[in-house]
Amino acid sequence: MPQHDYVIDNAGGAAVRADLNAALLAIATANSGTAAPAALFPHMRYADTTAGVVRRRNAANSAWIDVESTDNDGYIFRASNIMLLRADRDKTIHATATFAQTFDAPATLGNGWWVRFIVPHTVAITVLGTLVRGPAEFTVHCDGGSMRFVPADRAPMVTSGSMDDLTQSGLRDVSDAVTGKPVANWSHVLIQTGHSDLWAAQWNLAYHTDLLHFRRAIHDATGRVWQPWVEVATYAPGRIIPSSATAGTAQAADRGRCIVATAGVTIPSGVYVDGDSLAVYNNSAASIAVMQGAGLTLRLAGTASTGNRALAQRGMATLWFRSPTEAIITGAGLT
Amino acid sequence: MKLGQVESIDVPPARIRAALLDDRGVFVRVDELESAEQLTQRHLPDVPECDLPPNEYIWIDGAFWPLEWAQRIGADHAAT
Repeated sequence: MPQHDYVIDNAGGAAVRADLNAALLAIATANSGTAAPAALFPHMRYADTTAGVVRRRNAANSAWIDVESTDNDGYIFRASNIMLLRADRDKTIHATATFAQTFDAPATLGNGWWVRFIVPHTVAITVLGTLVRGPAEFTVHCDGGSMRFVPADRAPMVTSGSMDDLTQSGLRDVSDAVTGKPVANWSHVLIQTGHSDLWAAQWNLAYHTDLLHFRRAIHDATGRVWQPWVEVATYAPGRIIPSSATAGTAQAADRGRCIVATAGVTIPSGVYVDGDSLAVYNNSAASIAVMQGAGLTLRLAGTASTGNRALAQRGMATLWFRSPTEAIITGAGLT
Repeated sequence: MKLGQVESIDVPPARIRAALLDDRGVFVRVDELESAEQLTQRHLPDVPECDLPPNEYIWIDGAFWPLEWAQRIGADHAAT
């Protein structure tokens, strides 16, 4: 163990020379050993052969700082998970197959530890609970207490997978934000720019039962807050306006759909917002009513009339909402 | 609590950690003090953590040095 106390003791010529040579050897080998040197100096280097890292004393000589790995390999191809340790600091991990990467505890890795990941387009790896599909390049940094993603050059990072993947990614407010909607087995894409929990912007698109949902995160003094999911479009090839089998009172899920009715339909107040629309098709040989729900003003387009409307057999009406309490209705067979 | 009402929060006073030296300037321990008023001239507020063993390192020019090494250097200076 080439370490020395850096004190040349009083002795005869040969002993002094041996002491000097031992001191020089300790300097040349960065005080390497399985344990730290006994005598510590400001800025002293120490190659920790147990942890596989070169360490340095800070300027005050009050603490060690990990500086670099003692390994030769800085660029590593990995086809499966091998836990990343202190000695892996500053390395590049090039994934060649799909696997879930694990890390040693942040307190062990220490403040300043980081690794870079390269994920080719044919590969998807799970890092910190998030599935990252290639092509992607990012780094993972440790502050001694937690780990965080940092996209390369602040480029947008896109992650995708099932909603279960997202709920495990640390974005644990997901299920709370999906008010009234199932959260399991959604397909989603998460686009985020910026840094880890300090994302400059985040958008999330999710696809579930033929409907595309959108939400974005806002950032305030309390941190990131996901806005509620908004149903933005249907996603079913060849179907621009999907049908709905709702009977009785129209539901929030009928937004953007055509209710195929054989009996009267009530349009409720306070369910839809400005810009929402839906249609009603009378799939019967008799007239049906399109009724103005309590609190709603249902205007007949092109007239001053409000209130309940009649929809003749095979007639079709479109409703557009100006506000949660006001809708305009128009269509063929509508009186 | 009404909208706009600010809830009062009892914030504990910030504690100060500082390395303590003896009258020779040798490291003794790290003290945790209630306030800055309790700092003495033998405290080093810039050194809130220290992994050195007590009574073996002396503070010279902004850093800790091994006491034995410093004494030997001093003796060598005196002899030359």
